[in-house]
Amino acid sequence: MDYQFAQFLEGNGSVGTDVGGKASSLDRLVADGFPVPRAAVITSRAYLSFVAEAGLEPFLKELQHGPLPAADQIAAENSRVEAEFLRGPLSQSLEDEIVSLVAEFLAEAPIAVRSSATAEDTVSASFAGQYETFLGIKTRDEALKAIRRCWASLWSPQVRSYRRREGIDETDLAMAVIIQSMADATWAGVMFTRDPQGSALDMKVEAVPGLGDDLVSGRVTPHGFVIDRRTLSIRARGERAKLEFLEDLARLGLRIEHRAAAPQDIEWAMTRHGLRVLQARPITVSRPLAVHDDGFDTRAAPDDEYTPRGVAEMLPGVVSPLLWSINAPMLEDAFRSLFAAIGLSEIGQGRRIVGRFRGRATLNLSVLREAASSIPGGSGAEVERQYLGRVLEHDDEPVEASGGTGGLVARARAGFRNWRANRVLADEVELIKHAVQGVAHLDIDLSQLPAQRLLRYRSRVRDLAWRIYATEVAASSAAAASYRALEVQVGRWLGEDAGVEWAQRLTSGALAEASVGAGRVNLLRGIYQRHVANTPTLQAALVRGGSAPRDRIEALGSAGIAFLDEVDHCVRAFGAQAVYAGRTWNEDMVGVWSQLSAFAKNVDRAAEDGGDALGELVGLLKRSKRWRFMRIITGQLVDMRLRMLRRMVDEATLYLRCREESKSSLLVLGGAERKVIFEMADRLLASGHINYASDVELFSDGELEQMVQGAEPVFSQELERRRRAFNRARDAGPLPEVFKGDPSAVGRVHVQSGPVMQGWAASPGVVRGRARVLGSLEAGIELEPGEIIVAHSTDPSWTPLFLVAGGIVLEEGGPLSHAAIVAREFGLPAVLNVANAVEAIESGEDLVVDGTAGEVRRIGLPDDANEEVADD
Amino acid sequence: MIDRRPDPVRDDGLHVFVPALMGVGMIVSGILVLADCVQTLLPTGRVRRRQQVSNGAKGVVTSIAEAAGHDLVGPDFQQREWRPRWAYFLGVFVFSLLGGAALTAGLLAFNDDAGLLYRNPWMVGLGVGTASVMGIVSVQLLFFGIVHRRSFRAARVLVETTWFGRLKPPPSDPAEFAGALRLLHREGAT
Repeated sequence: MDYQFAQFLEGNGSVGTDVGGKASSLDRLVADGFPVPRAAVITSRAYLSFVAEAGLEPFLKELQHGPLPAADQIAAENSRVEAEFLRGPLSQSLEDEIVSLVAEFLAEAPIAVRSSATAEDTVSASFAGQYETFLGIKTRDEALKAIRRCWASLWSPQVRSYRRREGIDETDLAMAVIIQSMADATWAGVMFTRDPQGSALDMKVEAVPGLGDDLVSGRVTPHGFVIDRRTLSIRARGERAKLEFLEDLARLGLRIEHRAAAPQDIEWAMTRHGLRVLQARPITVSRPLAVHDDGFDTRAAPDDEYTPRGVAEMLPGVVSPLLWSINAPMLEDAFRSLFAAIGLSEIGQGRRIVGRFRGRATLNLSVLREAASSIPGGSGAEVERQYLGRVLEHDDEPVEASGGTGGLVARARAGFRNWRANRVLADEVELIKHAVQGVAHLDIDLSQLPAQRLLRYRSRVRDLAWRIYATEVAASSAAAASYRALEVQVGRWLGEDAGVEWAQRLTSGALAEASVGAGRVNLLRGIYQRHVANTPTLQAALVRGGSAPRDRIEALGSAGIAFLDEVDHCVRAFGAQAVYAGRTWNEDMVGVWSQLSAFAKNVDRAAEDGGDALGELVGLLKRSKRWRFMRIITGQLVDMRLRMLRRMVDEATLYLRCREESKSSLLVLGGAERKVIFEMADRLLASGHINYASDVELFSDGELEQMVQGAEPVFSQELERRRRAFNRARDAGPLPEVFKGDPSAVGRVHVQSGPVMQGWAASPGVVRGRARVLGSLEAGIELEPGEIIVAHSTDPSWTPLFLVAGGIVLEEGGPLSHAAIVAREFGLPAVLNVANAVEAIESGEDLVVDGTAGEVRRIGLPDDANEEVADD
Repeated sequence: MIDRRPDPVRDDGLHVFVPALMGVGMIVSGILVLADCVQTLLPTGRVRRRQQVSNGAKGVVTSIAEAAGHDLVGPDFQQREWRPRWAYFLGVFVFSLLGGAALTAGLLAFNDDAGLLYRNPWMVGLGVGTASVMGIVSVQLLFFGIVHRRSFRAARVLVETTWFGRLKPPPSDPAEFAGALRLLHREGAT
């Protein structure tokens, strides 16, 4: 029979608007050669024909525009909708087709009838469990009734509520229905190719004997398994059942994920003939809160406190929808993985750790505080000290003093978990460094890859990025803890302030080679030495060339071209400037030219090796009579306290190095992802999906993927709305340091403008110089040697400016922020956390930066200049 | 204000506190010294770990290249290589010495009419057996010392697969590691 309202799923590229999201995805699986049971679909045309024949349009309009029923009315509303769909007549031709199709399937085995709506299984909203599915259908009448009930489920109150919450347009909705042979299953279940509640490096499988409907209905408790995505090693959860096929299932899941270029939620069955895939859809629960974004802002939890500190360096300024949708899930997952690794999975459930307000990235300080307080020996105050450089005064809740909860056993257990989590960190960082360099050296012509292959390539690159994010967050946490432990320990011996100063000195020199910025500076310094140091004409071209000396250098002939080649090659390998997949160094080379011209101006500041700070400290301690007395009285054959000190310094240095190296690797890999984004932009430009390549920044990651695979473009009005929102967010200015709930209700609390401005002493030393207020990296080309950089914050792309500057004054930054680390490396006096510095200080002002006392003195300003205090 | 809390050192009438404290300190620091010594003597497995890291990284890069339809070739980073020549000769000396000692000890015990093992044939057997094994190993080591790095296939296979060879350190510089990998464009991949 020739079907007008139905088609078999044979991998012929069924269109989502005809067959619905679920069927379209099944069809792709068939096309890719995955084992899918025989299936056909009654298309959305059948639904539309039925609605027209049955005269249901006014009824549906009423549902569409009417209010949602109250909770106690939902069952009645469901029955009313179902009754309308069961009552409506089917046209003869439609009924004949359905009966014939169903008979064809029933001749072989019972069937499953599944709904497949046209707004289903998208990357942002899966509609999982919202629509009806009927299993084990054995007769024609049962099948007809099931199909009508599938159609009705499109308008159930639950689904309408879901659509309204997600902001999904209800016009032109339709429902297709899948008819599928029931697999004769010995085992069945679901598999998440990324564990939505656990680590991103794990898969999760739930299995029940027999048909999977027992699992879906919750009638039986499934056997649970967690599978390591890298090694496919299996861990059982709860009752253990030996399933020989689990490894094959995991491989199958990974193949499907790579084909789809997104983590998948897969229904599967093990039959006599082997594994079968019943359906696969993108996981949306792994980024549960993304759907609440209105494009730029996260919905704030009213009682949670947020801060941009600590995350603004990785995701500075207003983050575009594309970069946000790429980075936020990875960062969120990295925190969750860390919590899981140290046994704190339950912390912050249902609350977002990484949020976005006014388009700017923030961290949920409340969740981080809770996590720190839950670790025996930890406290929320330490989190505040790490991110803000100070401990907040709380009106409503006491900040737990350092010492934390739990007895000796709990501390030992937590210590063991931390040790286990940290043990593999250094090896993991080494592996990441090597792998990222390998990827950076791959010379793949992306323009030649078909769309699916391009997405698969990107998916594998992204897998590595997930891994690096997880490592970076774990290393940051370990670094902060070990650094603070060192500070406290030395503080106990020599006083709190001395503890802070010695911790900086003991760790700064060892970071000289590892930090993101210093690594780049060293590479460029090498190129400068090889090509320019002995070539006065090249030096002159660099000094006079301003922000774009390329033409001048090219005009110098072969020497200039050889120099440019090496610079270009090197800069390509640098990767992204500050955000994974963000702007790369070779897109805008201002920073590179400013650094090279600094060398040419003889302004080269090599990173300080920190001298033998440890030897100095050991000498100081040993000279103390009290120290010697304590050693004798406690019978220490070897000085155990010095041994402990050396270990603490080694540990803090190791983890800080791990953090810097993983961050650096993430940025280099970001360059590889950026190339894919450019390739996608070129393709969308060629296909007419977008008018400007830069528009891709306004799409989400999922939208971009779907469009590259041929989906309809995002409406231009929506694109315009996002562009306006982006500009509004940029104009709204930076966020307060800490705020509760909605940041728009909070203004600047304390405004400094007097002759002495206080901040956090980030790097010791005193320097006097002219202020240079910088709003962006690009403005840095105006920076003259010895001037004081005054800015809101810096990120790794600013490192070249640190070579030229005499001192640093920033409105933001904590003890372990990029500016603090690099300033200490270069021996630059720096004061961070200076509120209102950018607004109060003007370029050209004479400043004294006291990085030891944490003060900025404005010379020439009258002493009686007032401090303004504004309580908004 | 005067601090009237007892001072454990000054108020220690029984003169127990200080010696006890010193004793505990000496024991603990003695244990630490021993632990440090053991730690420095034990193999750290650093090269093996580096090999695993390099191979793991190669696996990651390979999977990324494969996703784009290309093959990646590069060395196996878990290799063994020739030890320095002197190490083989030192081995010959040590194993010969041990073998000789075992044989001598066995014969002496066998012939010592005052000893418990007098005329016990097992002692001779044990001595001869041990000496033979040591002898074979010594000969093998001597052979390796003489043919050192020459292309004897059998010798090379033994060195590359057993402890006769040492673990070959993989490149520690990530750029060098990346340079050792080569991308092969697969036929019809694009």
